Amino acid sequence: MAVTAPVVVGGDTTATAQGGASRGYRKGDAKAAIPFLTPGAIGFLAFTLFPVFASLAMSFFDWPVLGSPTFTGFGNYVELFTTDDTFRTALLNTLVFVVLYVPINIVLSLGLAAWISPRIKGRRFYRVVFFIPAVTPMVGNAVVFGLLLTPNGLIDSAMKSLFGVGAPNFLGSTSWALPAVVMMSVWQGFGYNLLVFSAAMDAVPPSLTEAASIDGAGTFRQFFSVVLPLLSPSIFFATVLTLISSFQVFTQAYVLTGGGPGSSTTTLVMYLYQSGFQFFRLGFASAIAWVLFVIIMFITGLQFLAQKKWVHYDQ
Amino acid sequence: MSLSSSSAISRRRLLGMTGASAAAMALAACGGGSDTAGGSSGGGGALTWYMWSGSTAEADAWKHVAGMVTEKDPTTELTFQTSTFNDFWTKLTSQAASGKSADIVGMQAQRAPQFKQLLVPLDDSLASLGVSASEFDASIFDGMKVDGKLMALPYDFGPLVIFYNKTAFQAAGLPEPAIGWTQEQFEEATRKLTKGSFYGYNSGSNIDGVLPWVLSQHGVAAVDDSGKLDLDNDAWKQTLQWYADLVTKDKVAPPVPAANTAAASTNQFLSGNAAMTIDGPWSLINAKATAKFEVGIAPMPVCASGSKTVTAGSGFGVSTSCKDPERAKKAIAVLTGTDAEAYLGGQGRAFPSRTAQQDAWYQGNKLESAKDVMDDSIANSIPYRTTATWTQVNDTFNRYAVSTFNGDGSVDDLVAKVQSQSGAK
Repeated sequence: MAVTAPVVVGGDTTATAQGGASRGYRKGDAKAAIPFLTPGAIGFLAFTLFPVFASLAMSFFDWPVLGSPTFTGFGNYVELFTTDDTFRTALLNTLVFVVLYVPINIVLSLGLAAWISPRIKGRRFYRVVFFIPAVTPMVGNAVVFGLLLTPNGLIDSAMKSLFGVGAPNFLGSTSWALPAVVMMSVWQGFGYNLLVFSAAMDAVPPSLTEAASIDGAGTFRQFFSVVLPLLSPSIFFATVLTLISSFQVFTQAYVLTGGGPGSSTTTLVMYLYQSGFQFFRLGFASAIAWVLFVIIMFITGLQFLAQKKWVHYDQ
Repeated sequence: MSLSSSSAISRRRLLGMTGASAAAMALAACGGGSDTAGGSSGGGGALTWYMWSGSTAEADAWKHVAGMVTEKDPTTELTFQTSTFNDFWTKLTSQAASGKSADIVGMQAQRAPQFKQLLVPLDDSLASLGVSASEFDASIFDGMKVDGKLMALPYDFGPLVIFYNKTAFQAAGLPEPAIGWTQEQFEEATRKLTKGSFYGYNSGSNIDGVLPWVLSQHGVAAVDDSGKLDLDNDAWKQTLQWYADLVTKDKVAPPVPAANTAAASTNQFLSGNAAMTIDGPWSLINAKATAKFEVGIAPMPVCASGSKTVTAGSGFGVSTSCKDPERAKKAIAVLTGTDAEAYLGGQGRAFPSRTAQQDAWYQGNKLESAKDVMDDSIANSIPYRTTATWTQVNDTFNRYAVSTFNGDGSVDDLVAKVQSQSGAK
């Protein structure tokens, strides 16, 4: 009961907030709830809501770090969408990153989860091994990848001694830099989703797959027609989170390539950082943040709408 | 309240909620917070001093100098705050944005135009502080001026010079670079020294490394007389092409690995992968201590316009948010005073900007042999002039130079990008 109690309270508050779906609502509760909610609400107001609206306001100003801001209306947004080539490149780079990273991540983590799902030997060990990159600091990983990928680094030297031909200058070439960043990100990120999928696969009742196999379904049929639909809530969850985080990609590009060569790995958040903290244009940076916010909100909204079509909840 | 109520939240709903809240959290994470690392002066004579440092030993040296301020005036106490060089500029920016910079801040001459609004001009106070401009090296003292106003007092400076691997030159039987050596000799040395993954020169993608070459080959700097960025000319394009050819055509310099590594050229040189690089005297003591070979320095080779270079250096300024600027000015006069300079020079922390204290650097670090080269380079140097958007210039140049120097992009492209993306917006 101790565990369920907070869930009940949480459920009740949400229900109330959503328009009194709960019939058990009593007037006296509000008085008791206010002191409990106030500390959290203050934190939310001061550290989330206020900065969010402040940045919205700032995006309508030319706001230098030093000196006084001037109101420019939609000037920053107009500049972003009409004259700013770097923004277009950054937007395109981010989309390419998302389109490459999200499917590779989901397919790889799902595939590996399926591979370690049967009671194979050393399964727990594999789970831990695959999860290690996800818990190590990304900056550290990126530095190590930088050393591996650099000319005369491990990969280049190994290829030279094995095949006599060196590897491309991954991070210094405009065509290789973004794929290299995607590769490092997949290595870093798939472990988390793998754990989610692995846990979800464990929850698939063996009776269902047994029944399917008695009906003559092979391994693949069982996986695609029984297991996969049961995993759909987890896949939905993983896709939403992976997509949001991939739109916000920054650390990998910042440490590995600094956004270069040229602007070939400049992502939206990278450009936001450059605009705000290197080029000192806080209003412009806020405008980029809001464009990114709208994009993420829109795509996440689409996903929530689309889930009705493909996500099966087992109830 | 019973279990039935809790089970009213279906799994679907719970998952939906989890997803939504996770989404909201991830979205919220997007909004940045402001950094409030800076402190403002407290009561009495307490001042804060924000300066970069790369090691505990370096920070200790600064704290020692801070102690000199209190020694001179017991009512003043400096609190030393520090971060690494790269973080320093980001933090200084965000502190400035929140109006809470430290009272005294470290400042590079190249970045002074960018931070001029953060700094209090010092010209009118020099006489009362007993600071005489003639005691400083003129190029760095002038380098600290923005629009004719002195923004900081310099503590160190140095001309960019060629660092070379003495051991490699001797092993190859080549004459060592010395005063008066020429571009032809430089090119010949790079060709003879390059072998396998050992290169004659490491160029890197920094504009700092190209500037002395443009000056020596064409007598042109990055900024024109009116203070505007001026790279879009034949002088720059020819030098950049020559520089890119070192990597792609002559293959005497390694491919540039990535745009984020400003110290990469020096590191490659120090780990024995390249025979020459460009750097300043501030790196010399560390270079001598780390390298497993003998390190020598030489002036820029004599090119079509002579052997020319720039001096870069740093100093201390008083921030406009300081509540007691007079006290802070007195403090920086001590921080850049004769005692502090002799100490920093002797410790090898800085090549003193005060000419009379420079001997401490040579003697304290057994660098007497470098004196002629330093004197020659200083005599042939000009201040490193920059624009108010120098960070943009630096960053854009760094990123686009990687593709140009590796043969992915053209010199015209590099110049056009830097020129257009670094305009004062």
